[in-house]
Amino acid sequence: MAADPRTPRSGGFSPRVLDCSSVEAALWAWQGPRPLVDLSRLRKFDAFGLLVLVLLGRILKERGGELRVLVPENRETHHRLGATPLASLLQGAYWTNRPLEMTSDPPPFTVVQVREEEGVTGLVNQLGDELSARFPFGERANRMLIGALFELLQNIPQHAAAGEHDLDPFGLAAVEEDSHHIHVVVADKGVGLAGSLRLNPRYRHLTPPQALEAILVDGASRLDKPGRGGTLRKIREVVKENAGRFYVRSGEAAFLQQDVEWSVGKVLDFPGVQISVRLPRTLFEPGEEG
Amino acid sequence: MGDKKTVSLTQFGKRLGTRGEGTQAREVLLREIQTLGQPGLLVVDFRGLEVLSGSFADEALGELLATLVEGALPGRYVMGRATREEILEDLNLKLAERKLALLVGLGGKNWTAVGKLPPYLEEALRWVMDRGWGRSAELAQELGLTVQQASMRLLALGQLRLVHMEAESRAGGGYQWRVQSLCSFISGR
Repeated sequence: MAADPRTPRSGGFSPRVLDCSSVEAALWAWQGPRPLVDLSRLRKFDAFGLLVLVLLGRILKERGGELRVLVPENRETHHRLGATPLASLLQGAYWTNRPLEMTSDPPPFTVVQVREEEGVTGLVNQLGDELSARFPFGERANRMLIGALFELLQNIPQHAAAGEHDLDPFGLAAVEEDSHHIHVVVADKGVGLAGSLRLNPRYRHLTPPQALEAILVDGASRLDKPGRGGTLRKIREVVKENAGRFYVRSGEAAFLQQDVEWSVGKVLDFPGVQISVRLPRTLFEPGEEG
Repeated sequence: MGDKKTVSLTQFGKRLGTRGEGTQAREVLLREIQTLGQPGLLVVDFRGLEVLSGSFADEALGELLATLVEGALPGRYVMGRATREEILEDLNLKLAERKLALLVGLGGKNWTAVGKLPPYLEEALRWVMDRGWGRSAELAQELGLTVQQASMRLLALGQLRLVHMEAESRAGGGYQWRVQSLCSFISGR
């Protein structure tokens, strides 16, 4: 296909893969009020990459900017992207070089929007029912994942706008599967983990990476009440015990748990919290129960 | 002996997850406890649940037990009933954070203390559970403790609402604790 001469130049960054591993490089390339998101060479994307793209579009719209997208040239990738709720979640807050064709194909993964705490159980049940139907023999793993979804999803209405009542955190969650893993993504553009934790005077002095470590390793919470906090640490420990991968980025910090090792460091500042939980598919399949 | 009611948590759903729902469940449980006479036992039935998240468990049961341990509703107790311990994993963590424990019957004579119970208290609780009831002097003799040490252990179990206890006069003067296991409320021992 010949390139449209009116199409803006991408500045060189045109990922083939947009996923949890490549999204950091993408965010560096897509800075400014009207970044050109060149997906023309895209062949593969995951729920993490998609949700970050949605949040980027929403943030730019709020700031008066616009997400400009060069849609994938690969037909299959184009259709796969068109089957996601990308366009509906962006609500017109984007420009594309040609229409993103909506298809009636089943979406590559389920995405739900998290608004009020009252709605969390319905959303978790929807995702849980899909998981149970898909993996009827993975009772223990399903229970583990559904329990984690409850905690991760209710964190959005409870903490993502802590201290900022006018902020719309625009929480999203997705569950996807590939040949080796079940992948859960929960993302918002709220105050972030450090922003929430700093409301507790005990943790006010912590840098964003230290805040992530305090929450994910030590179980710190902005609330000093007994019984509060520790849920993200628990999820991290469950992932570790089950040979999974746990990635959390929040503000200008990111935390990665892989195998028994964890690391934390600085990344490009991006609002909110974006979490990826990846568990081996074998946990959900017959023969791995118990 | 004693008043007893059972409440199934499945009335709130098979997957229990949010703090808000946990708060509603606690209000229901509290209302049920308030209707019990003294001594009275509320059995919280976990059977049939698929998921019990830490947030729900903490709000429904952690807060409830904390209220009782602080002294509310004397003579009223809570224990659980389950067939599988896995469903109690997150409850166990939350109660441990609060330094509380819940006795859970697992069918037959099997039981477990979910939450945090130091080994010396677990030893005393096991003695009470095996016998159904006992006095501090008997516990002291059985475990090679002083009567004062045994009394302190039973008192601690009573404060955690893991046994029902009554002070009774001793023949030689003073008083001693007579404790009764919560399971004896069910079996009528």
